[in-house]
Order: sequence, then C-alpha cells, then structure tokens
Amino acid sequence: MDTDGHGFWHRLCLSGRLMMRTFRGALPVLASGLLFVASTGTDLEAALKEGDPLPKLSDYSFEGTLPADLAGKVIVLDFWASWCAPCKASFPALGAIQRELGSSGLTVLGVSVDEKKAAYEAFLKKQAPPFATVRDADHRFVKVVQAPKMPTTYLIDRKGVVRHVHEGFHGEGSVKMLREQLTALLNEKP
Amino acid sequence: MKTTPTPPFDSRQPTRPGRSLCRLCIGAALLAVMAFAGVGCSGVQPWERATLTSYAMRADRDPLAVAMGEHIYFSRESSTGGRGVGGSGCGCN
Repeated sequence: MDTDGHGFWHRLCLSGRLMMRTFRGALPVLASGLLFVASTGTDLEAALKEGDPLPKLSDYSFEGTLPADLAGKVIVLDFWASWCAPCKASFPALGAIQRELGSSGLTVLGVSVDEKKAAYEAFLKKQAPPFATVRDADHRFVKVVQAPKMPTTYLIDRKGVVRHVHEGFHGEGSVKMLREQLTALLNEKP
Repeated sequence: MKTTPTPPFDSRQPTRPGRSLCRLCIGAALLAVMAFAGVGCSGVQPWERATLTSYAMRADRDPLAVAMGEHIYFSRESSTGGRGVGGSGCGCN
C-alpha cells in the first residue's frame, strides 16, 4: 500500500516523464548515432549498373596491358581475386567462352583486385587463362565501379553499355546464362 | 485539514539550473560512448577481403584445438559425436 496516496501506475508515469525530461537533450545524439551505425553497413549498391556506359579504362592505371582493340566488341569484364574461390571456379568457364566466342567479336577482360602482386601472379601462372587480365592494384577502378561481390561479371555490348551484371559465380547456371546473354549481344547489329 | 498530496515530480516546477548542466553532461557522455563505439565499425568492401579469407582467419585452422573443442562439447552435452551427429544433449544418442 502506498504511503503517499499515489498508485503504482501514477508513479511509473511520473518516473517516465522524469526520464524523458532528463534524456530529451540526448535523443538527437542517440538518433544520429543509430544513423551512423546503420550507414556503416557493408551491403553495397552497385555504382555501375545495367544501362550505364563503361568508364573509360584508359583513365585508370592498371598493372598489365589492356587489350588494344576493345572498341566495337562485346566485353566480359570480370572482377576477380586470387583469394576468392568462386573466381577460381569461374576461370575455366570464362576461358571456354573466350575460346568459343572470341572469333565472333567477344573479349573477356579480367580485372584482379589482389593487393599482393605475388598472389596475383601465382594464380595466373596456375590458371593460365586464355584471356587478358590486368590488376587494379590501387583499387581505383573497382571503387568507381563498386563491384558488389567477388566475382562480379559485367557484360558490355558493342556500344560500350553495360547490359547485364552477374554477381558471384553459380556454376552451370551462371555459364548457361552467360552464354545465352553473350550470344544475344553478339547477334545485335552494331 | 485534508491536504492534496503532491506528486514526487511536478512538471510545472521551474527547471533547476543544475539540471541543464546534468543533461549536457549526459549528452556529451553518450556522444563520447557512441564515438568510441563508432570507430569499431568499419565497412569491409568485397575487394578488401583478402585478409578475411586467409587461412589464419579460419576457425578450424588448428585440428588439435578443434578436436579438444569437440571433446569438451560432447562431454558437456553428453552427446556422443559432438556436433557431427544430430540430436540434442539428452544423452540418448
């Protein structure tokens, strides 16, 4: 029984009001803190999307030589890394696509995001891909593109426009889709 | 004479001078806590995960430690086979 004549709920309400008054000044700080934490999430929104023109590759300094004759070709731009298992799995498939469709006007270009040059070179020595590969050593290009996963494969048409984006590599399903989309892009009139 | 009881806190009372200072201190303390917590938040981009995928980051990199962990687990849970088999810690499997 209350000694001062007030019930439990009345006192609870007053305590709540007291707390609200005390922490009222801190509410904007709390809100901004929550926003900050939410903004540090790692889910990326890809900067280079379907319909966007491919950034001019010659504006970036890659380690390795870019293919000279990319104009008017269908390009498979593949971001990969030696430490990425799906990238390793995708290399034979991309090599087969290069061999099969290269004569029709297709170029596969691998862009490695490896920080360690030795790991990059060892991977290439082991895989020996039949397509061109360069290293984006300072990550300038990948930061512009914002590749959402490793690997991410961009299919670019003859006009230099990104038409399809493949996030990750999912075995036969990815290969089938890549072949279908690339065949359709190669059949388009320039 | 019957008097009306006064509530423990009356919002109509004028604010005491020390209270705003108290609020300021609480706000500053919260800001400092969040700032310190915030420096621990770092977004690792997909192209920056080389270290995270290295062998040293694997939980099962030490077979002996894994075996010991499994032994402790099934001893505690009385579940022969540890995590390798289905069932719970009822000791009946």
